[in-house]
Amino acid sequence: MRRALPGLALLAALLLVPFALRPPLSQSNADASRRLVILTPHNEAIRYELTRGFRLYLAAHGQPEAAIDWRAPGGTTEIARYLASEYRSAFEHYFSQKLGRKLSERGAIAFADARQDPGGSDDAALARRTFLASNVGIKIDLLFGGGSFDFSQHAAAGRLVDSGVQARHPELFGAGGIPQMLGGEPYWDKQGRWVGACVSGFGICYSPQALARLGITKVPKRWSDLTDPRLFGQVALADPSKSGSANKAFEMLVQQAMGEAMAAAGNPTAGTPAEAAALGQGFDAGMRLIRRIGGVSRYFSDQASKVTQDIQSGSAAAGMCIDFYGRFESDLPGPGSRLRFALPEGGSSMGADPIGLLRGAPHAELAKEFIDFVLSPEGQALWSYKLGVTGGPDRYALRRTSILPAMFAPERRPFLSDPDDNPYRSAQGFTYHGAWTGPLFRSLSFVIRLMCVDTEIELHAAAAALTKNQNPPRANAAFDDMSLVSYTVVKDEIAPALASGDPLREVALQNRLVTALKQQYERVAELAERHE
Amino acid sequence: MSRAVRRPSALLLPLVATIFGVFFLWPLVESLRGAFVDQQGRFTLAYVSAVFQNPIYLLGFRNSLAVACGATAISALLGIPLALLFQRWEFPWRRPLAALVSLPLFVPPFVGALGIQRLLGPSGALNAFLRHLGLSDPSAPVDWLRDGRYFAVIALTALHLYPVLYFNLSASLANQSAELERAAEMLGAHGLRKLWRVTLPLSAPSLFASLTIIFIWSLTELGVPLLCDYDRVTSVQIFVGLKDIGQNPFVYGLVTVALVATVGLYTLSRLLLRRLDATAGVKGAARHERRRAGRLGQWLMTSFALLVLGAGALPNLAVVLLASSSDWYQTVLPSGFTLDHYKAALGHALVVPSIAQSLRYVSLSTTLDLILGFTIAWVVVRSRAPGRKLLDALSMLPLSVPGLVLAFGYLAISREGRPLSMFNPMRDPTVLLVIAYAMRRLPFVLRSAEAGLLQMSHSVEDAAQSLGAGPQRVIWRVTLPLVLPHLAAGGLFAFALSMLEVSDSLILAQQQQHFPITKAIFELSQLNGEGRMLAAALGVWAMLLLASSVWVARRLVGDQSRGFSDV
Repeated sequence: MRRALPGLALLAALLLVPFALRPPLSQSNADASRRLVILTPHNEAIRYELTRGFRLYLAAHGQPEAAIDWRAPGGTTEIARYLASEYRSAFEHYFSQKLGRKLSERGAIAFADARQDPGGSDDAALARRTFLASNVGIKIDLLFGGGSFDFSQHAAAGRLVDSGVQARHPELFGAGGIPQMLGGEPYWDKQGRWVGACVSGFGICYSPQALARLGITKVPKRWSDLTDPRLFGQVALADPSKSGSANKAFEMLVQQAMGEAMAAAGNPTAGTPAEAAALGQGFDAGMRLIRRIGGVSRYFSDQASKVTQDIQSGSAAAGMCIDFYGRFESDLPGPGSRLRFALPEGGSSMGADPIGLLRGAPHAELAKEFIDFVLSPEGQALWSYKLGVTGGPDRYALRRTSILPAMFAPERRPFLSDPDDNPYRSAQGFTYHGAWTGPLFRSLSFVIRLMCVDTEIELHAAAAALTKNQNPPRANAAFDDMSLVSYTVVKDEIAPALASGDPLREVALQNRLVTALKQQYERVAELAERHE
Repeated sequence: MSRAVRRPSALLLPLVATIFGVFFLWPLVESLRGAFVDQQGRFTLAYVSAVFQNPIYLLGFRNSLAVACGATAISALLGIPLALLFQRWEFPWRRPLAALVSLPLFVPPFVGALGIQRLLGPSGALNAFLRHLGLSDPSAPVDWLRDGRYFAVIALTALHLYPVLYFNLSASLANQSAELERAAEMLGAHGLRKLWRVTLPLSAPSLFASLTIIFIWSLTELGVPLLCDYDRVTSVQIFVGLKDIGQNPFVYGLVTVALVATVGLYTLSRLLLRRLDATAGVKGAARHERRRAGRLGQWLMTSFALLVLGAGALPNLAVVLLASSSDWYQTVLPSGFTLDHYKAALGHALVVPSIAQSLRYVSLSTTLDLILGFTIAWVVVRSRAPGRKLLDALSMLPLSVPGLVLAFGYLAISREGRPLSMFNPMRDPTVLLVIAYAMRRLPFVLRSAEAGLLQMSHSVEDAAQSLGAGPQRVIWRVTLPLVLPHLAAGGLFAFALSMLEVSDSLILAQQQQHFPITKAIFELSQLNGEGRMLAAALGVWAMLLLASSVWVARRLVGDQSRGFSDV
């Protein structure tokens, strides 16, 4: 025992230090009589500021205090799986209690399937109908944070319900308020099941030092600047199959190329073969650009913070990142000087980061008060105001962009952390055409994953061989050949397969395309090495 | 088989099988159900068979096998000489160096990754060092983690895992009787011949146990390939698939195939190495005295130990430097030092409750592991109960199940209306977290306990019985004390790895008051700006806590048990 005393003393000291440094508990709201449960991927900084802000808001409006129980089981994909499995279980329980019989496996799949017609008489339709008419809940009130794509999926499944915010605050959604769509991005759900709480978008971040080392003097301003072969292995990208927002950024890139092709063709009339040809050429050009960027990529990451971290530490030279990460990190003293952030010219979109009321919310009234708070000027100031200004955040500057147009009024400019980042102004330079790529949104991430992520090693080998051998013509043409994933293939073959809801059909397509793309890249490398 | 063994094993086998079935197989089946049900709710094997039609996944399997073979071989090349060196020889700094062996196990994986990038990235410390020596072109720095990432994955995995082999073999060597080696020497066997024909065969169960763990762990290792951005291995392909928005059941098919492959490989290796079990070593009273080589030999030994231990402790060193740095870019050492990150991290409101929770969860889970691990090992080694070998093989499964898969399985079996709803983590995740930690780390304790029992001669227990001791008394007074060093070595791994467990903690601990320390570190790492430095600082604190806990355990257990104080 005596031999262990020095170790025990060290252990005791280690355990004491955090207790000695512990902050006072005055900010705890655990004693409040009302309780709100929120499921969120938001980080501790946002949770802290909004908890504090909501307490002040309730006090200012003469409302009783409320405690917020934040539930954070991970990022948006973990939350999606969590919600799916929790609702399934809750509904199975409800179904057996209400109808006195066990929910069939078919019903368990169909009850939250937006494609399921609730009007039929089979098990699946009965399950769907019963779920939509029910108040089945999972003891959580709100879903807060993610992308509009994720929220649209949850809303379509029936997990989100109308919070009534549009009826309570019509002024927020009318003329001069939050538009329903901006630059192709939905900002609120027409049925009130979710509404944007703030906005964010993907931009280009880069290290001036790393670019100089690679001999690149031109600052990247467009997505196409990321195809420079000197950037080989140095471009950090976000994975579109993991993030709806990242996929939206790639969709914008494709839309930009389609817009250019249409302009070059003299903007042919809608529905004509000329328009179809121009759109096909533009789509293929956009996908070709993505393949070129993929050829010099370092990775496609699902971690929002990894890209800026790697560029700051010198592991990558450039990449795509969410705006508030880029802005915040580039302002850091010291390491911040190694990171610059810019929204790409003409190819950016600012998407909503929503909030929505979950079906069966146990504290629905308090949840609605919270939504009202988030959309109020007081709540919006927490996202976008500088640290320390009146009405702004207390401990963390969140560097998020407000969704309320009124927050960009000239008199508020001095308070904003980033007064020049105004989504309502930047969207004016870009017209989104939903009909061009909207129905292909999921197909786009599917194709990018097969074309750049699953076949990454062969793609990199092909790109390296092309650069090494100075782009021999046949090899170059083979690399740019998009026939495997052309507009026609994506529209007529891939999109219907993904929409069929048949995983086996999707898997068969995936296996066939991966094999073919792998062979295409290996062929490119062979041709390049033979200088053909 | 004597009645003294048959009667307890008849009771214990169903008991442990039930516990294992309810808390591991059931949640696993719940989680993997999607791999076997089609859109119409009918049973199908189509998703599983589709795995074999995808060339990328087949390559992933092949690469995973190659990584596992490479990492196991390198771990053996590092761990066996190191264990022999520390157990059989005296050389300068032996004791302080021995304390460093466990360091690679004490660093939280994602925090270690942050540190390694600062060392081996293009603008990292190694390139800065080479530049100072004039060996690197500043305009074209080597990207160590990316350019040779296949070999980087193998090397980093081996450096992370060789302590598993070291600890198990050390426990075995410390308990070997010196008489057998002396007898071999008298018969003319010296040096490598003695090592090959006597010493290593006597430690065969420990060697087999640790090499099996290292092989399966490397086969399913996720952190290292993710660090090197190497996604063509099965573990990363599963991880990527689980995070996919589309939620295709195909990924569960992939998990199923990986699980079956793991059990198959384990069973195959047991069949191939079955003979080793029969050559179990003998524990005896005569203890080995450490020998002294000449002065040059001694310093060569110190240099070898320093080289291996230094390489293994690189992530720890890098994390300490990162947490203490104001900035670290293109320099060998940080350009400035500060304690601010420690102060901010340890003073954060999340931290104090998470420390208390982690200690509570992990002490309970390690205790459960020790009870279950010893019980299963005893049934497997000492009894002939039917089904014991199946239980043994199944007990290795937790090594190859992704934490996320199991965590969602636990959620599924504890929802309202389900039989285990009283453990619903929405109310309090303690029970499920303790079980999740215990199940995932059970293979470490089990393999150690089995190795200890195999190395122990039956004759000692038989002698105790012939003197009138009942089965319980034999286990309590004879068997347990003799396998204690092995149990302690396995328990040490279970404790350290559970303290650093991430995926179960992320999913099951959802309310702030229930967060364990790893979730607190993860939350801090997500903060913009200084988040990564805060995570590194809290990581350093966790390393120190684990190191001192293990040191205290060694002193406490080592006082009563030969062997463990030496490992």
